[in-house]
Amino acid sequence: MKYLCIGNPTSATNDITTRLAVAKKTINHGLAINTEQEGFYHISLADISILEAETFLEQFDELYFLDQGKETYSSELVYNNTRALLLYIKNWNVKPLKIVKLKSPG
Amino acid sequence: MSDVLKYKARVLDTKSQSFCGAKWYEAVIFLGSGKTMSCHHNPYHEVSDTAVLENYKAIHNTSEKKQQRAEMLRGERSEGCNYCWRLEDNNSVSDRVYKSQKFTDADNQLAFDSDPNADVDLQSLELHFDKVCQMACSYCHAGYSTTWAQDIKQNGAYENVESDKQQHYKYQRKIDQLFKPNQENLYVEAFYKWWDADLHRTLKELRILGGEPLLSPHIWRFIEWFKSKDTECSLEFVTNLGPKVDVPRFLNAVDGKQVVVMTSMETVGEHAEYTRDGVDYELWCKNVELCLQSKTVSRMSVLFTVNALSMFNMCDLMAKIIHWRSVYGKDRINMSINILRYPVFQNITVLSDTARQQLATTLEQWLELHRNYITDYEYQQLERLVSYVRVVDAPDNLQDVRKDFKSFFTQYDKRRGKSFKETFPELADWYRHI
Repeated sequence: MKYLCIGNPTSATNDITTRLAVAKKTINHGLAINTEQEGFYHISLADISILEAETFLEQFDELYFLDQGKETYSSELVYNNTRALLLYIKNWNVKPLKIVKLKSPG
Repeated sequence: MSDVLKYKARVLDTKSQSFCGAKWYEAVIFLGSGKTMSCHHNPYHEVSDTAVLENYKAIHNTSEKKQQRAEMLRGERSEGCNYCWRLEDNNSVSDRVYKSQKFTDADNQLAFDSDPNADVDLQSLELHFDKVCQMACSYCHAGYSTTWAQDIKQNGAYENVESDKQQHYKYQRKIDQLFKPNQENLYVEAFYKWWDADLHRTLKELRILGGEPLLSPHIWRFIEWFKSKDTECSLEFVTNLGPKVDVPRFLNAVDGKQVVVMTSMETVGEHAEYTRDGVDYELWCKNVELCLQSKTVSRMSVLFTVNALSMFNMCDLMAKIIHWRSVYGKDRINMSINILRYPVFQNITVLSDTARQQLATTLEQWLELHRNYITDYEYQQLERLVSYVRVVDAPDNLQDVRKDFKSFFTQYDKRRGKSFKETFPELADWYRHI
């Protein structure tokens, strides 16, 4: 199984992805560049455009949306694009989706 | 000094060197994708769903626009408004002057005196409910048409179109429809709430676009709702009047209100059906006549998107419009002439210089013969087109752009079951040699 975490472009996203991977007894391969292996990956819309994301998501079995606050994004554009991507995934049931609620800003 | 320059000096320059009333009072809003821009020259940006859930006015009053308003109050040039700055740097009158003129001096002053972070009620709005469209015109893309998206889905991305920097012909752009057709859309609901609270009295013009707006699942609810409101706001629809558009139902639905119908067309017959893929030219003519016969349609406007393939028979369409004026009244239908600039490979400058000069001469001769049948404004627009076709420089990389033209239309022909060479025999040799 391949999992993709969608979050902000900070190291917090990598840290949370690692935690989720450990909980699933698999590993975090880091930023989703080479995605051949099973396990967890992460991406932010600072890394790819929202249009690229639309097709990029298709290779994963499950998606995790990291519900990080607006204040954790350095760019409002990236935050708003990430929210739009969430709406699209949720409303069209693009892939199984889990929203990870975070207690503190991550 | 011309009137418009006097206006600029009196109303705008006394505020700041970059003030534009449209940043406060005008907007284009895409309700299906949650995007907005201040005018057609701006790039659009995402509207925050969380902000809209807290405050419906955020569908227009985004933090990006508020930041740009603050820049304008300080006399700084906002990056998204480069179109106007370029014109002004060339000593031309930019659109911010014409756009600001739409609003009263008092309203412009109110905007200037206001806190840039305050929410402002709109006066002019272009509303796109979604991108549902039964057509897939060659110069459109999947961001505005579900049929275009279907082409990309079935046949993949268009290849070897190097000038397509925006990647319009690469992606299905499913993400431009954030909501399923019959799903509650938080941006649509925000618009209705704002209307009930303020827009019913502040909005002076509301223009509905798509996709094809008369095929949108939102449209009938919208028309019923609008009819029930007491407002002075004018209502305009921009429709392709193509197949599947139920014109009698539309006219019946808007009965009781005066509406303006704008419809796109720039040439006739086979040429029109080639570039405006999906249109049936004869049906379009019948639908225009149905609208002209209706008392509820106060005025029609034919929007010409003049491109490399539209000018060969463009005069026939203008003659048709003059004929309609003689039948239905001279003020019932007008022409709006717009030059297609993007995609750059469908701009008129892609053609050979000989073809351009011939097209300019034909149009010039037609203008001379028909001067008394067209309005001053139409004449000016057509004169500007003649001059554009004659003198505007082709892009520096003209050969590359022509390769894109051929590459695109070769794929377009295969996908859409068309033939460029049969439809445009006058260009067949030129096309073959690209």
